[in-house]
Amino acid sequence: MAEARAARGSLIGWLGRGLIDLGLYIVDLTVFVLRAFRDWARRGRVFNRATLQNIYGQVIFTGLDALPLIIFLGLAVGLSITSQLLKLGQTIGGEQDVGALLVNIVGNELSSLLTAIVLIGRSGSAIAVDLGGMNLRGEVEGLELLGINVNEFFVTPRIIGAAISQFVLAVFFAGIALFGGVFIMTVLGIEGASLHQLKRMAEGVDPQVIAVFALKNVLFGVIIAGTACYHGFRARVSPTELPQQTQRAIVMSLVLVFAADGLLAVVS
Amino acid sequence: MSAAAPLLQAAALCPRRSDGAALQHPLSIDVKAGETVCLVGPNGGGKTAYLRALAAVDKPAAGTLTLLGKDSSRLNTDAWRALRLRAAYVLEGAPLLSVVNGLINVTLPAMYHRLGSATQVAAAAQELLKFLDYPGRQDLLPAYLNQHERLLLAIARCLMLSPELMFLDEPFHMTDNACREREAAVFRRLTRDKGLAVLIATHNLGFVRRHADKIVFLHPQWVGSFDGWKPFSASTQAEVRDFLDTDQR
Repeated sequence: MAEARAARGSLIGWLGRGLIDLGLYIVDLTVFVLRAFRDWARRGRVFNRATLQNIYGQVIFTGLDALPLIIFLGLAVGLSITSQLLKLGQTIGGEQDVGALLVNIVGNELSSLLTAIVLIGRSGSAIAVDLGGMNLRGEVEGLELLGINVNEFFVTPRIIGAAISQFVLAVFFAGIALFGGVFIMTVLGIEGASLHQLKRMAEGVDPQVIAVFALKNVLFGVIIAGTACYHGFRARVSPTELPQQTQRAIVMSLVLVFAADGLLAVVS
Repeated sequence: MSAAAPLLQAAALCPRRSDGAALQHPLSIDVKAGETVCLVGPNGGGKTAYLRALAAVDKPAAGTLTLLGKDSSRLNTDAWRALRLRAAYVLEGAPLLSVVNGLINVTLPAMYHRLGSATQVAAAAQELLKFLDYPGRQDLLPAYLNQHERLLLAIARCLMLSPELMFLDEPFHMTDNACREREAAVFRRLTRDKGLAVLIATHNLGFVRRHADKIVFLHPQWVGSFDGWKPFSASTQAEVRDFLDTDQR
């Protein structure tokens, strides 16, 4: 009896400590990101060629370079999930509901989440490794000693670049998954699919959905790049810290993106 | 500030090591424009810690430092960043930004600080690379350059900001004798032609013997400064004798 109580107590304690740690981590990360934006905004360096180059670089790497993968995944989701929902819609509801269902599930939820997962695996890990390596080799300190604000130079451009890329890629993903899926199903002559569905989907989109979609994807971009930079800068002394911080960046990005998605779904 | 006024004044300065431990032996020194000051001593003497403290990179455990007329203990973040343009610091190994080529590494700080148009900055960079006799390619990433070339690029990017003082941690690290000679000539030109005060932490006693105006000897048991090689080599201090005898052997 006493043992069971002790075990229950230790489990609650473990959960409590975990929650406190997570809360402190979120506060720390938020302060890190806000400080980076404060440094950037305070000195009005958005048009500084040195930092602007970093934003371009991040958009090219995170956005443009990931486009083929996003197109492929969008088509795959279009063929699998969109087609399933189309068939399901035929049996359980009217065409109007199918349009709204597709827009909400595929367009709003899946496209944002799957794009975020791609970006976490591709860009989040790359940013953490890149910054961590630079930090370990003294490249970051070398720039700091030239009077360069590393928040403004390294962190903010990556966050802005990732946020823009996440939003644009999610739009591409949603478009390809919805329209591509319906189009291919129609061309293949699958029952229940017709280009008429596209009109239904367009009717299912309202300004609130677009606003939530935009907000969500910008937030995901900030989380992905912010977490990656935060952990990248934590690799300070030993090269062994680099893989540890990178995997933490990936895991924490996934946790925070899914948590933010759930929170936004509840709030909106 | 008059021409004869020291650019750097340290009084009873005790730095901290990277692990936070305070070094016990205080250092007092004045450095004027055009002087070459060498920090020498055996490993473990704290050359890097003293150099970083003298450059106001790290806060000292004790003592005062006036760098370019500013009390280092009263610098806020913005003032510290502004000071870095006038007191350049080249880390050991001269790490450059690995993701951009040599030329961009040189122009980047000047572009960041908006010291001119892209054309002006590029022209100034070319002039500096010529001044430094930079022998390598400018379009390669630092990983493809040798240590001598990386060092010259690191010096060039500091010079783009027109500093008055330059601190270099082990600049002769991993270069052969011929490159060391060229690097020594560069440091001479920096002090003679550009009037910079140069502070170098080094094991290269050949350079110290020929070029040092002041020598700071750093030993775990004793710290002292000398006005050039002659008094240093004539010192009867046991730690200095032991260090010089070991070097000759």
